[in-house]
Amino acid sequence: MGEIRAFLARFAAVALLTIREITRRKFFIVLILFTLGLLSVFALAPGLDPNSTLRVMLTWIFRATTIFLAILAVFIAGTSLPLDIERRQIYALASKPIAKPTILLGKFGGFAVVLLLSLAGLGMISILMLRGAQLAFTFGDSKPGAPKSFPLESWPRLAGEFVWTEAHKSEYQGTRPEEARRFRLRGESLEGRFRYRFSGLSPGRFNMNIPCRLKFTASGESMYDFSVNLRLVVINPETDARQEIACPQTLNNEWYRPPQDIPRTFISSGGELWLEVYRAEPVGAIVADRDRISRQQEGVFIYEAPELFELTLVKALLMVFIEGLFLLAVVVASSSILSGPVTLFLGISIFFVCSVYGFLSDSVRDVEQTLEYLERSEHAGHGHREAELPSWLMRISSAISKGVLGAVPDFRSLDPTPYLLDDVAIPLRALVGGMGSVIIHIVISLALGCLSIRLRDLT
Amino acid sequence: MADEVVIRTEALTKTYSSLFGRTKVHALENLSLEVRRGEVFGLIGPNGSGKTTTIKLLLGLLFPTSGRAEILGRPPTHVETKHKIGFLPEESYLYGFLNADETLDFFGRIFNIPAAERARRIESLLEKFEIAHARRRAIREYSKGMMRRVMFCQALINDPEVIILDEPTSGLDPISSRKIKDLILDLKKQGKTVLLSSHLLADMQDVCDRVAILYQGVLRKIGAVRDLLVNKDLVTLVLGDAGPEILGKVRELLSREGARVVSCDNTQENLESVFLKTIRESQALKVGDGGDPSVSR
Repeated sequence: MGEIRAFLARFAAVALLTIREITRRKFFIVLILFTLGLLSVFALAPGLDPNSTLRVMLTWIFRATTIFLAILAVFIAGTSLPLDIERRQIYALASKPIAKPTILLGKFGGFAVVLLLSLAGLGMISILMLRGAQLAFTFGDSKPGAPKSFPLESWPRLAGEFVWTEAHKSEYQGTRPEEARRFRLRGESLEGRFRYRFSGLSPGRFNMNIPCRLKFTASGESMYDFSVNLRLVVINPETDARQEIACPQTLNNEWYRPPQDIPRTFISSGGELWLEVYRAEPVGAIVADRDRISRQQEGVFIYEAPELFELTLVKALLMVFIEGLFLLAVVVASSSILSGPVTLFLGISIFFVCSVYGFLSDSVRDVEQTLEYLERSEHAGHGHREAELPSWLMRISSAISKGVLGAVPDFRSLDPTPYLLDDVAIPLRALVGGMGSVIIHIVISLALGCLSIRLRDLT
Repeated sequence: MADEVVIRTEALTKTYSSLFGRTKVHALENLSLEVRRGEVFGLIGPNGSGKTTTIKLLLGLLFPTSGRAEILGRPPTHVETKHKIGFLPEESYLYGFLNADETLDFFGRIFNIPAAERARRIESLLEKFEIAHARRRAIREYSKGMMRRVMFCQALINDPEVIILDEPTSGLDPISSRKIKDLILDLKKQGKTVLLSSHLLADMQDVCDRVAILYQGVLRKIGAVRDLLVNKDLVTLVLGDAGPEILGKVRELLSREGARVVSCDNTQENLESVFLKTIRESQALKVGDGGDPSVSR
């Protein structure tokens, strides 16, 4: 117990030193001013409508925050320990009763506190700016019929269990593994349907009328028509009570809110609700797929009563904070053994990889599919097919990329923008799940950093 | 108790290798020595002789290539033993963004010294080293001498049993240098063990009980200063109030008994004592009103 207390006291001392180090650096003050400048850039945008203004503001807030944390993590944290070693300030410290790993962890702790406080500050400024803009629209002039201002609320979204039912089903065979079993409704018959089973619903969590939104990959009558007319049938599975809602002109890959909300009374006493989607006319097709941008399952979603927007923003900033912690952990850990410039280079590279994780993983998959295709062609006796690159080079590139992608967490699980831009509340499960995968990487990075500083000479 | 060995090295060796081991530098080779409780032990040698490497090995900042070191009966990497050690590095490696108060508070926290006791020690050290007047100024604004004094404060914040001083008088003016030597002697009086390194031989001669001479990483000589300095072939006879007549008789007696008089001259003071005497006389006439007060006093 005494040892733990002693460790914590030393950890806190180094963390406090680190906080003083950062906050007294001119660079940090410049960085804060730069970030505030970025945050207010949206003010230069030409007169946008309220909803567009909200999207632009949210986008800018998260761009500015990400840039802030990247610079803090890479340029300030990445040079701190190497400079201590280079300037030999570490001698006086490491000769005291403190284990070298505690110095590293204390530095990490100090940076984490600064990052957290900075994000909290930026979050508060962002809220003030958003609420200010909301008020400005409310009391400003607006075009007749146009929305007066934007609502700042977040809707907890629930996805139902997808059931592809019965007749006239048509299985779409895609080229990619996840496309191999996409489901679509097409053809003359209008009986094929997608059923979404919502269960475990608690009526108290919903408004009297439950909002609902649909999103499908849709193709219309002609090649250039990307809309279909749909029917949404609401079913209480207990009483078999039904209500039909027409959903005309449902656009391909666009959120569609039916003209009518779902009465809460359709939720059964067991907390179940079914929604079925039919085509209204025997033309066009819809596909239940995974959204390529947000990676969310397409289909039908219902929304609980909205939660405070500020709460969603806090969750979003927490996601960004966890991303920042990972970058900090990697940079601080590698600075225990690498020089300042090399650490900077590594930090920038990792930030880059994390930022384009989706693009990189898609590219690796494409390369592997090309390799598979070439192999299949050769086995089938079609002879050797020429690829754009030699296959050995593709194999090496794929192996390296897979190694790099395996070493960093999938940051898409911690991207709050798909939620914020869709006015959707961030579910706690998504937050915890995303954090969990990143925290493992943070722990591993710090453990390796502690080991390397423990074993190195302080020459 | 006085013979208790506080620092011990056995065949301690440190070799620095380049990344792929192509070039090797033997910084220290087979150093074996013992430092006993309460003594002032000096490591002397020219630059690159292995003094600082020895100190870093004793503090666990470096890992030995072979051999072993012990300090207070424990390996140098033992964290808790460091509670009893004070270390003054060769240069004043301080955090420029902190002030003296914050610096000492930080190091006090590392030693887990309770807040009230920490404040008392900081106060006492700042007073003792005459930097209390500048305690709230950022250290990057300090003169070299003031930084050195803050370094001394941090080395003593834990009231250590063993004090390791690497070039303690480096960069100091003669007055500050004298004060440091007095401090070392004071620490010895308090029963502390002091290990210091320097290439300023006069300083070492003034304060050390025993010294080890290192050259190119190898221990060349070790022993008590008095024993190392004694020349058994020559004898110094210091006479007071001896006029030419008495001197003549002494010479005659010595020559009759077969002794050879190598030199006979007035005793000379060393430059340090002349300098200090001059400054003290100047201060008696007029007290300085600017700069670092420790110099003017």
